[in-house]
Amino acid sequence: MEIAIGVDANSGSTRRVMVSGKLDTHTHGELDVALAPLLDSPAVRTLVFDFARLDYISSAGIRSVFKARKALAARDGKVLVVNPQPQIRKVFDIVKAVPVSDVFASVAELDAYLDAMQRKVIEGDDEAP
Amino acid sequence: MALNLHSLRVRLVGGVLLGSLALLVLALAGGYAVLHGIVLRQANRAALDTTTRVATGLASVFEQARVTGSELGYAIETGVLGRAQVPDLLEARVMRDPAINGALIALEPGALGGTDPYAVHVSSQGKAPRQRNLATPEYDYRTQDWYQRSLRTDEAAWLSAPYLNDTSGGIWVVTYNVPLKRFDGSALGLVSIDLPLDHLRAIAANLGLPGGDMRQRGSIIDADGRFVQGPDPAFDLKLTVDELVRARGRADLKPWFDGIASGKPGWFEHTADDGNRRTTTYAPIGATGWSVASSIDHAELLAPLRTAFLKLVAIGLAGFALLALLVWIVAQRIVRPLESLTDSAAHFARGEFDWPLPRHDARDEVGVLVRALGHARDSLKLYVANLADATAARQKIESELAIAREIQMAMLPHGRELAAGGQRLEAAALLEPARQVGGDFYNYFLLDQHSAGFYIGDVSDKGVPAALFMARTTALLENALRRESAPAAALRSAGRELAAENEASMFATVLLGAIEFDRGTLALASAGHDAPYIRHADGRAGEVTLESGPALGFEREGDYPEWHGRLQPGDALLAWTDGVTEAFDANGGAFGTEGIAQVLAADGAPSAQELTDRLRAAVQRHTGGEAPGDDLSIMCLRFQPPTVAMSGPVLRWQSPNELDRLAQLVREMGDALAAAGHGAGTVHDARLIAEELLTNTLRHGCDPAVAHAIVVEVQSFDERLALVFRDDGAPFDPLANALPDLDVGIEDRPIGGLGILLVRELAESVSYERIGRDNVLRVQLRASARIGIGERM
Repeated sequence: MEIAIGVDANSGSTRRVMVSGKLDTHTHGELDVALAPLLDSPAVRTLVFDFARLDYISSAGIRSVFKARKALAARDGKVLVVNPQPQIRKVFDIVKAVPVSDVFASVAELDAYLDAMQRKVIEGDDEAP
Repeated sequence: MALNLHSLRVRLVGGVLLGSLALLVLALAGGYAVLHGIVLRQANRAALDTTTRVATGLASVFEQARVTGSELGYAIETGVLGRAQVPDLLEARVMRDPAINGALIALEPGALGGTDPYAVHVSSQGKAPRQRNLATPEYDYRTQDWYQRSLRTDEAAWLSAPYLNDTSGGIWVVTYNVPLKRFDGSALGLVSIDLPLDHLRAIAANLGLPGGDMRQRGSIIDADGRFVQGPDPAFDLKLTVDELVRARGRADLKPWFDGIASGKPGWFEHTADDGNRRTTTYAPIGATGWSVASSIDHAELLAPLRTAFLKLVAIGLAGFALLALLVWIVAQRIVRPLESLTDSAAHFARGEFDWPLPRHDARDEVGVLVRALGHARDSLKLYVANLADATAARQKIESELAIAREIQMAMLPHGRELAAGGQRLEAAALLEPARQVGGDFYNYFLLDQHSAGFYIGDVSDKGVPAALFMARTTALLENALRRESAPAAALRSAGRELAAENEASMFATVLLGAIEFDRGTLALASAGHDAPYIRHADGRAGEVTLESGPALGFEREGDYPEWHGRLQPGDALLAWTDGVTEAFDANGGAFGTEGIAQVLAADGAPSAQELTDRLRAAVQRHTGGEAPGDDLSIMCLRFQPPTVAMSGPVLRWQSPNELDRLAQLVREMGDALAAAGHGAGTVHDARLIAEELLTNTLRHGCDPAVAHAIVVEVQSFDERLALVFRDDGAPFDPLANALPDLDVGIEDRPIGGLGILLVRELAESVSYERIGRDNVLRVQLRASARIGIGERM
């Protein structure tokens, strides 16, 4: 098995995508296929890639993540990365496919960020007429 | 002393003398020609006068004889005389008249009261008269030619030809015959008078006709043209003028012959048979048909003139010699002071200014010249003395400057290499001050075990002030860089101190940088200095886009942006001062950064020293050897890959150009590296590099329709991995493409180009080379030890 992709389909506008194995020239197509419905759905505003079990990523994989980020950026959405292994983190640092502030070392960090963002949205809604 | 033909004296004397000589020759020759004409004309006239006078004299002698004859005849014709008185009368005439030496009366029979023939001749031989009766039976006078002619003629008198007269005692005479007539006109007889030729000659000689044995005898010619007296005594009474002209070849005397025939006096010039030029004059003697002539030799005639002329020449030459002496003396007076002046001037020219000037107090031009030269000499002496002082002072300054330059040069680093931990930085630099000392500077040095610092700069002036300011600047910069390590901070710190005490308002432009040996990371900052060029190992070169801050010395707080980059092994950093970019050619064209780019564009892998030398040579070619207007400095730093020997086995994989097979190769390689004990990070990086490069090769280098062989070799050594990728596709250098700009907004960023960026960032070095028909990519990366990452896998 080169790659395994799981999409956690629970909460509102946020989707969590778990990628395991190797994301490279061969396998990035599978990720693109799995992401297509999420990117097409306007309801999805935040995409979280959980790379805890991703061992390897090449520029082809980066490109897939980057494409997702561009698609979501068009509707003010965001792509977040959580749990990257050191070598994956290094690649992300180099190519800056995702802002450094959008990469989280652990799920706890991510949740705190998401909660904060949620609160912001609600407060923003309260203030709205 | 040899005579200098160009000297003033020779020219002066020569000119005057040549002129005088020409004048003298002209005067004498002209005078001679004129005098010659006059003398000749006068002589000819005088000769003609003499000849005419002689002719007139002789004519009167003949006339006298005729008159005597006529008187006697008249007395007989009128019958005054009888036969008895005739002899006495004749005797009286002959004895009284020296011109007559004989007289004859011959009568027809029956005349004067007698019937017999009657002829009596009286001659004077000496003192005593002698009578002869010619009417003898032996001698019938009446049959003689002379008697017959007298009876028949109608002439009053006729002159005989000269003949030898026996009756007169055997002398040459000429006879005047006067025929006698009766009143009825019948012939009565004749009276004849004998004139001795010697007497005629004597009269002619008395009148001035040269005669006797004289060389230039005058001539007396009778009515037949025969010489009574000829130019040569041998001609006398033998030769005629006509014979002389025709038979003796004296054609030059033809005018004489013609002149006699004309019966008028005249003269002509001719060239005689002896070659001499002569004038011959002639004149008729009355109506007798006789004539006189005389000839004069021009040479003799002109002899006195020649003599006089020679005397004149002698006097002229003497005068000429006197003139020469005079001119020579005058010339000496003029030239001698000039010569000694020239001599003095020659000594001055050799620097002997104390040589005395000639004394010349005269107020002429030479005197003025002497005084002027004296003043010039004094001025020159003073000037030379001043010059010697100035030269000595300048030499002192120059020697001090030379020492200063040595000190300045000693301040520059001389090492060819900076090395730390197996990494090397090859260094080459040069500094050429436009003057003895200059304001340019550079330096490179180790900061610690992992990094090196360097700077290059230019102070805003040249010469000693710039050198002093430069010394201060360079000391501050090195200290600042050692203290701060960040280039921008170092520039700020140094700038603060320079600006604080900058009374002279000088400033310096500086390029300053620091390089880490480990990964070749480079940080640069500029204080008003040109941004450097980086030449990559593969030959590409470009200017670093470095923003500059203010030059040092102006502001206490300058803001200096930093540039960060990496030098790959083999990359060279080249920096310079404006002596390079502002080197001008003959047309005023600056060398500029274009010139630098051209030098860097050359092929090959030149060392730092070679790049420096090439740039210097290019600048020199550009200026065409002109003296540099500004200090010129070049500094080149080249990052060297570690020279650590390879170790460990070479792992090798080969694959055709198919995506699946390549993916498999990458997996196999990763597994093999992991199995060899490399950390997960290293394995990950190696896999990533292999995948990115091979995907690139497949996409751009290989023709999908053709089978290509792709080879990967991996070798580990000294905590590093060396990867070599080789394929036989079309030439393709993935490193040549521009890297994506990661700083632009996400919306504007193209997707792609990330693979090579990853390779460059992960690897310690990447290089591309086309070897034969193969593309060869060499990658080197640090192999991290087994760390946690790997164990977490």
